[in-house]
Amino acid sequence: MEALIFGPLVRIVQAALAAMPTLVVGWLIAAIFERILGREGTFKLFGGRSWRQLPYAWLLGMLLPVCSLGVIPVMQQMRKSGISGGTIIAFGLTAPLFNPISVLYGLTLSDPFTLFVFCLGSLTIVTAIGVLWDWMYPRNWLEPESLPPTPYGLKRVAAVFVSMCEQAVSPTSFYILLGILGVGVLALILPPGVLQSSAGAEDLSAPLTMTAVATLAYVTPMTAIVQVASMFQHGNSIGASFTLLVMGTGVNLGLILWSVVTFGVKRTLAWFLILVAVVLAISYGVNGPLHPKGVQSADHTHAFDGYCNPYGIGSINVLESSWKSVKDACVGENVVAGIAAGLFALIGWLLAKLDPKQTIMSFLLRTNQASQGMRRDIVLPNTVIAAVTLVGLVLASIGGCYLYYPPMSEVRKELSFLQAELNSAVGGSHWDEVAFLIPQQEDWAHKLVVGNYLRQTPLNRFQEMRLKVFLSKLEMLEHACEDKDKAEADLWSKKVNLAYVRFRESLDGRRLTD
Amino acid sequence: MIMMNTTLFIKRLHEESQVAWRYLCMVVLLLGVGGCRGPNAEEHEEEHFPPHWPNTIFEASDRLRMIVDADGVIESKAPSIEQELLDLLEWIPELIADSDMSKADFDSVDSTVVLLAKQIEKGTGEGRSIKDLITTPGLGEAVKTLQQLCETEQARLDALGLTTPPSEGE
Repeated sequence: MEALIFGPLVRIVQAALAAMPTLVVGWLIAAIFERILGREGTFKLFGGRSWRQLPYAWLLGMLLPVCSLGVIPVMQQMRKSGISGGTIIAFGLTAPLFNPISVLYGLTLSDPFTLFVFCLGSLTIVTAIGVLWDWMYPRNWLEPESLPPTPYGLKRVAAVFVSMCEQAVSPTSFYILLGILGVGVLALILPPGVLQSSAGAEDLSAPLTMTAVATLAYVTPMTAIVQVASMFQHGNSIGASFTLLVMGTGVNLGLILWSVVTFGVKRTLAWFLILVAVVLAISYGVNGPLHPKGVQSADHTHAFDGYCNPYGIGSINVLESSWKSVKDACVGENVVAGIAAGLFALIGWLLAKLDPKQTIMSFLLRTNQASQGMRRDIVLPNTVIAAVTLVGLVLASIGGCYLYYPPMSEVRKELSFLQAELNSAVGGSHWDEVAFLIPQQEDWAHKLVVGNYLRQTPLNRFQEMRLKVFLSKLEMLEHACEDKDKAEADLWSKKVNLAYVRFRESLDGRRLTD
Repeated sequence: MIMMNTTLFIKRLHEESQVAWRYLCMVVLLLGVGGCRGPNAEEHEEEHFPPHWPNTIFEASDRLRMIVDADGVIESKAPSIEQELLDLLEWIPELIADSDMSKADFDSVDSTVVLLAKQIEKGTGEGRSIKDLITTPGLGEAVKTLQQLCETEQARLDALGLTTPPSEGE
């Protein structure tokens, strides 16, 4: 019984924490659309009623760092700006799939050609949905509501801040909450490990199973790209990994229900069925041709363990493990963004309670001609401010890559530290600690590859192969520790150590027995 | 605000029919995936390392020599001997990386075996037999080079007093 309560709760908290950074970015973008670009500016940004709507929606979606929850307030603003339903859905489905950090990560984990095909696949999907949906339901947009212009200066900055607070307590937060609850529903109905055998390369039903599961799941772009890459490395079904990327990252329960309320059940079913049909067609199409060469196809994967209940019936120490899992999910950026999100929501709630007539926002939007005319600073038009902010967001996420992927010297320190911790954990049979350390070690190993790639010093093929050997042995150690097989774990721990030393020495250009 | 929206949402949902909830039920039914037992350690090893996986580069080199010399008359633990030849060629870079051989040793065979693997894969796709495949230009030389590398490496390890390569002696 404990497993059925705490398992879903853990998954909900993990999803909520993971969503925080991209959710805050979503509120920021929605506030920029509302208070800086305005209705007309947002309408123009997405190409108006021209043929450019869909390519623009795809391009902006690829560049802006939001997830499938953070995109809901943005879609709401697009709706209020008179943008067509097809374009809104196209943007809503593309924006969560990729962002500069996740694309970079993906480039080093899987074949670049495959990632290119996945990007092209996403363009095909949004174009198909947008064109078909707009054709089936013409004139599906709202007349844009009029908004007073935002005056420049500090008032403009304050208006964006207040708008972010309003977004945090707007009806869209209800759908965001539902999206996160969907993760709990999944964990409630999926016992631990049930999906481990659902993505085999030969399993024709793998993309179908993935469609059913991923629709309810909430996945951040970064998590999705790591899971997709993991499936590539293990030779799992490529069709299933594409389905996971599109359905898992792009769709969630909250987004679907937002669409149901905004567009109606039939129209939502229409785009959803088109989406499923196109995704499945592409998935089955790429399954064979993109299957990686020279990879022994594994019939199991751990990529979806995070969607299932972490505990089975009869698991012991559930409460203790749950607390540990939540603590592990409290990583720096998620906690900082979570605190920020909490503050936005609190201020938004206070504003709604204490200022129901929105006098503060009215004050911020009031233009004082006399004082504005006397000022000597250069007045930048809203379009320039919006362009600088949106481009700034993209540049910041590119700049963030350099922070997220530190230089090799720093990564090596982390790897060595974790390796020592891992040895100690295996030696002491601390299986929970091992289960926590191995994914971290894998993550740092991938960060080393991306960090070197970013700094124009990519690993050579010999180093890549040594890393591959290290990671494959690390995975075998993980399996041995999952089975709590001490003898097997000790054996693989030694092999991991040797592979790690060899990898490290390949980076130095030395070898073990010189 | 959220409470108001909840009421609005439920009302709207009822008005629109309960298709959304039916859809949810369908999703739940679709999730009737059986079995929740993951593979154990031995099964994991079998999945990652097929029966014809050589433990070391030395074993891979010996096996390649045998296949090339046997003129097609040889048994295999792989689905076919053609498949084993292809797999061995594809695995060589990884097996060298899993040994104590140097980067220079790795570079001397890496690009050749990658190219050969592509040619053998094309040949197996065209239905060519093992007798035909082992005549692929460059295969004999590559196998010979690999064998020499392994002999040199073994001699080096012997001189260092390591009777078995580090990867076997773990």
